[in-house]
Amino acid sequence: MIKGLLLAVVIIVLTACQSKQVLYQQQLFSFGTLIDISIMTDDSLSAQKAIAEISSEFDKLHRQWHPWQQGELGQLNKILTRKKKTAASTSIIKLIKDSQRLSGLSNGLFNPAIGQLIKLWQFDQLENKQYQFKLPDAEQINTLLKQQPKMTDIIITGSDLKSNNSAVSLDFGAFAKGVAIEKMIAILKKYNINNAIINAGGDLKVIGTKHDRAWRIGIKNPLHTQDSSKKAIIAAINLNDGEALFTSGNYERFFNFQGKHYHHIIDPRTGYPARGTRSVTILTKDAALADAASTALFIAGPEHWPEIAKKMKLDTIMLIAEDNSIYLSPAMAKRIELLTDIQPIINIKCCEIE
Amino acid sequence: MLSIGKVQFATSDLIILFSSIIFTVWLYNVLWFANGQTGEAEILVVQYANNMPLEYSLQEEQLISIEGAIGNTIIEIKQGKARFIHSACRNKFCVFHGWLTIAGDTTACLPNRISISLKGSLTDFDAIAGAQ
Repeated sequence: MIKGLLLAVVIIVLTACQSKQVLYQQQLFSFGTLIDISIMTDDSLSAQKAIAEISSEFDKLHRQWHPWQQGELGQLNKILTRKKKTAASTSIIKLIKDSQRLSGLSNGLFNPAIGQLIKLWQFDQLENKQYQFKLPDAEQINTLLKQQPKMTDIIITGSDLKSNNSAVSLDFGAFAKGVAIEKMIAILKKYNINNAIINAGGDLKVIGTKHDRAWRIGIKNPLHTQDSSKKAIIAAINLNDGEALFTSGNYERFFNFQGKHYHHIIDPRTGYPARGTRSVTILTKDAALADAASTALFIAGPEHWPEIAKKMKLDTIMLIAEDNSIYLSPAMAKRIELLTDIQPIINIKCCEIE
Repeated sequence: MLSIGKVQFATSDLIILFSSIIFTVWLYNVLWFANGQTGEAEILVVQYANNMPLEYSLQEEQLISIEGAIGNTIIEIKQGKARFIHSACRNKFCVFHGWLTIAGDTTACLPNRISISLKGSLTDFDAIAGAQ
């Protein structure tokens, strides 16, 4: 009897000692959005230090990569329009080179060179109470479109670069968050934090697990933002170590003008907000790729997203169209748990990665 | 009587031993794997800028008024849910977001630097993806 009791105590104590990890959560206002950091660790000091460094790094990158403020990219944009040669930091050069590659793979649908076109829409004035929203001048849009600003207009020689096209200004709004999240994950790992989520305004990457199970993520319902009686969460998905989940939606930043909805994802082919898509969600390991691709596939729309996905070597995708149809790649259909009655359309020939 | 090597176990020993194994497995499931099964929100967390977050019970119906970076924000707690009902910002995206109902959900008024999120002891989701 005593032997049995002793063994029982040993089993319970050993099991209880398996993990002392607790969940640390911190929200930060930074990078123009709300950053949610969740960390599973038994080392609270490292968690605090990592969060402080992440906060400071997000602030630094926001200043450095803002297209129109006085940081490095803002200054560079002024020089690019004058087609003059200039030196740039390795961080900016890498951002440009990676964007050039991804822009090519997306058939130019992801195009950070259209900064001037994006600026015409004045989405940076969304919170300015004095600003009266109006549509940009169609002639100005056409003039910029005729000049065809594209990433290959930027010529890089070592640490120097110049633009061959005065219509090129760089806006990394569809890429910077993904690159930044990868940097923040590296900071976590430097502090030996191997189980965490970095969630920047709904775009996120996970590492490790939560108590030996995958991180479980809810995906917001784009319809809920227009009709709060709709379910807030449209789907659930479990993410494994190193997976990123990025969404581009027409409900993020927008204004309504004369009864029409104008959102911030500008189609580089037309100069106007892309039509046909409500949201695109991409699951892949590289957060920067996920960020760029979610914009490219959003613009590609319900008809053409599979061909762009294949070129960008992505296979786990959900697209919700403006008519509320839900398109899934076969890999996404296997992973996702839809919490809606809408029957998804599975593109069975979509997105084989070669 | 069961013998393992030189150690002999009486029937009562075996009953305690197996009961403890079953109890441990049950505890493991309840405490570690229940997360993701049910998700009743219990607490509203309100954060202004990067200050210490404030917590409010969702059982206590109330209006919370906070001065943010650009003006006043009012948050309502009612029937176990919470929402922004007034904000000094121009576009009121936070107000249009409507009720937060499930643990883990969050929304923010970025210009006023105020966020609200719901917490529960058992949350459905570890994070919410998609624009806030």
